[in-house]
Amino acid sequence: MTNSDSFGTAKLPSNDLEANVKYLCNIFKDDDTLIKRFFSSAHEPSAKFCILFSDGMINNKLINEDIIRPVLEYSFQKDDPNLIQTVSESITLSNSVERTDQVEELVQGIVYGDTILLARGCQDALVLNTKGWAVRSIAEPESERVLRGPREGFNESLLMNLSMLRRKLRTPDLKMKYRAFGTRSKTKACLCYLDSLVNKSVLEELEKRLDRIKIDGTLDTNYIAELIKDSPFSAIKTVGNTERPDVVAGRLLEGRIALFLDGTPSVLTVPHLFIEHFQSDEDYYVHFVFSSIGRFLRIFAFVISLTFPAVYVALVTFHQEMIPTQLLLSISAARQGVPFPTALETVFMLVVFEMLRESGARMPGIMGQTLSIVGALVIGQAAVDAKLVSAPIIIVVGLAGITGLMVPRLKGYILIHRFCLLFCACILGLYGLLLGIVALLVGIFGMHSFGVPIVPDIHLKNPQEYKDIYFRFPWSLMKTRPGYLSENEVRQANGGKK
Amino acid sequence: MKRMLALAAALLMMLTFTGCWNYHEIETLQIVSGVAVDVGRNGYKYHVTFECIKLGQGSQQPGSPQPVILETDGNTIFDAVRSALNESDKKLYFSHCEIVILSKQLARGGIKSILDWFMRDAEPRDTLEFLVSKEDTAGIILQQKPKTGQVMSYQISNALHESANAAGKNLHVQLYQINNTLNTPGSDLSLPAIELKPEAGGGTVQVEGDAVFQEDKMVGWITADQAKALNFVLNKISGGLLLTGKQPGEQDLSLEIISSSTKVTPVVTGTVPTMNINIHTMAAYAEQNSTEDVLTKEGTETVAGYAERTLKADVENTIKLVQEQYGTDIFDFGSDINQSMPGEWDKLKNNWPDTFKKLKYHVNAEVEIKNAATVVDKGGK
Repeated sequence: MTNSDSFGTAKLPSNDLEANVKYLCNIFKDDDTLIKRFFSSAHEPSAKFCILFSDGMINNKLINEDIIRPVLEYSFQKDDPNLIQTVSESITLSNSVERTDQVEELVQGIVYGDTILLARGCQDALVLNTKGWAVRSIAEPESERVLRGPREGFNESLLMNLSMLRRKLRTPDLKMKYRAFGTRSKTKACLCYLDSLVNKSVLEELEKRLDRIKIDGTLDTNYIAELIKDSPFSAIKTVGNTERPDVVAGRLLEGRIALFLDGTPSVLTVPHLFIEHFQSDEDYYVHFVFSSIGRFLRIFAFVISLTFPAVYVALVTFHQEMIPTQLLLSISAARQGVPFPTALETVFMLVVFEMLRESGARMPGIMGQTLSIVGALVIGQAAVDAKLVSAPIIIVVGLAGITGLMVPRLKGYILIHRFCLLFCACILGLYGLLLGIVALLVGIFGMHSFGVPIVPDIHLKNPQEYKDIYFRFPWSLMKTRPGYLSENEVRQANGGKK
Repeated sequence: MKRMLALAAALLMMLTFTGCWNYHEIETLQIVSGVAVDVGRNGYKYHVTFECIKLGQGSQQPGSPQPVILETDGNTIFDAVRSALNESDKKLYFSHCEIVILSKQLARGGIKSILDWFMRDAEPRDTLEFLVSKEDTAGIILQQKPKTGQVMSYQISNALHESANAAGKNLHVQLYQINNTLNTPGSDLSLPAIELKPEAGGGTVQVEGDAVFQEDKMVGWITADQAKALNFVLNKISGGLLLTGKQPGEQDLSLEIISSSTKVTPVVTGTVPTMNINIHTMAAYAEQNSTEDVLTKEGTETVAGYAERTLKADVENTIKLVQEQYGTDIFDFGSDINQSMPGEWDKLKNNWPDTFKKLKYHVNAEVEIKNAATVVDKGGK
């Protein structure tokens, strides 16, 4: 094996207890968290055992009560030839006991909170489930808050996350397939989907791409997302992510596939359409009129945030005839005495805004007040008073920034392409802006997510499929699932196609 | 590689075949709000007065726009525009210019050559409003201090729109319309006129009547009331008042025009055409400036009849006056004939100015009173 931490098919060296323990301890050389404890039955001193576990990963009570105590109290036969089997079958209270002599499995057990039990005269060992470590309690995810709807969010424990999903979809149709990522981190992951709804070609493609991953460690699902996504260099997400079980359940019900990873609350879902950037789970929990308005506002905010600085620069420096006279006069008045060209001014203020946003996201909470004072007063008010920038620029950049925050999932895309459009507008005015927008649209419309176009609108023929795109129709009218996502379209009995 | 080449070619074409573009900062523009053109001095052909807008500095004193007058001479309009650079630190910018005032002297000599630059240049809009000054020069109008507005040109432009829409006593004619009229056979031009109005404590300007043109040369004036009759014939009335009374000539009843439409149907028999002018006006009974309750006593039908009589007389008198005094077809009768019976027009067009002076007309005014704003006393007795 090329990797030093993989043992292939190596077996425990002998049936001598001391030698086996020494062998395992040698593997974990210089690892002081490995605890070993020898003990033997009170009634039969020849029944000698040793347990090995990694401190902090285990539940002490389980080891004490369910492994050591029953063994100490059991009356062994004299010179029992197969102590391991006796322990496994008649003594230990553990719910998951595995007998093996593979070193790889024993090592994996130790590092994942299991306890290894070795016995005198046996080459096999038992892997007993004693996992127990502190996990964060279930809380509402900071980034996906809702006013109405379920408030639980995933935490860092894979099993707990899967249980949250299972509780929402209680059907054997829900498939959960384990896999592991990372040649060193050996992170557990789980692929979940509803077997009768999933688009098989998407599933096949996803598994193919997952099989190709050869990375040493995966600390968050974004490692995987970047490795499997279509258009890997685009800032548009073609793999979705969420921290909410209800969102995952909702997406599975539309025929999507979810990928859970141990150690992160963020769960991937594929395929991911462009419109999902604008959808929120709360859309489905409040009245459809409000959610449609909200969704429409988010799309509008995206457009404003992307184009507003560019439109301003194009109008003010190329197309003054398009500005109403009164506005032209006030912009012109504000620009009097400002030393920098409008284009430079806009770029400068946009960068300042991004710096403020970034520092707001990174710094400790108690410093917030300082930031808002410096941001609002010094950079906003004082810069205008000192005639470093003109007042309309503050409004333009402020509006572009605020509307950008309405669509946080696209913030990277907006940030980059806002500057691209601004550049187009600076050299060619509205004409250049239009060229830039055409280029962006061509890019977005050409993208796919696991074989599904991320803007499927132009392919759709069935009006049913428009009912959850730009507007959220009432549930009574959404009879089918989007056909491009799922193989089984009937969502409500007696509704839609039979 | 081929795709990249195609993309590069497409980009190159898109970027180069785009016409004019120019990056210029907004504060480097001298915004012109109005232009007045006079006969030139010192051997120049034109003397042009520009009203520009000067802005206060920065945002702390959001300086209200101050008008600044620039005066230049030139042999062409463009020459005069460029001469302004001798005294202004910024290039004149015409896209927000709203009015052009012509002196009567220039107007009498023909306006086509003046219009050309405004039509041809990229900056001035095709919707520029043109006026003729009744004073000795056109420049003097712009040099007045604005009274109700901040900038003289915008004050005139707004007054022009308001009075055309709500009083109907003048035309407002835009550059492209002038161009259309000058190039349409069988219609002549009329432009709104502007004059000084002396008042105690500094005068102001007012829009008053129209200037009447033959071809592109001004031949005379008509009054505001005649301009209103002209608007009725041209179907350009969108509001205004009809003053009428029981006796012809009396003006103690006001009707407010809600809507009005006019249909002109030419009938050609022999060499003298007859124009049937059908005016249909909806009005509201707006004011009775007398102690007598005319409406209650005589009924809406009768009052409408008074208005019809007045309107018919006004229109007939105006047509008669223009026929006799100026002989220029500002009512577009010729183009009406051309449109409805082109065959007849072909015979008439060569001798149109003479034919116009002789043509007969038949005015049929129909006024409908829609409401009377009557206060009804309900009970309380």
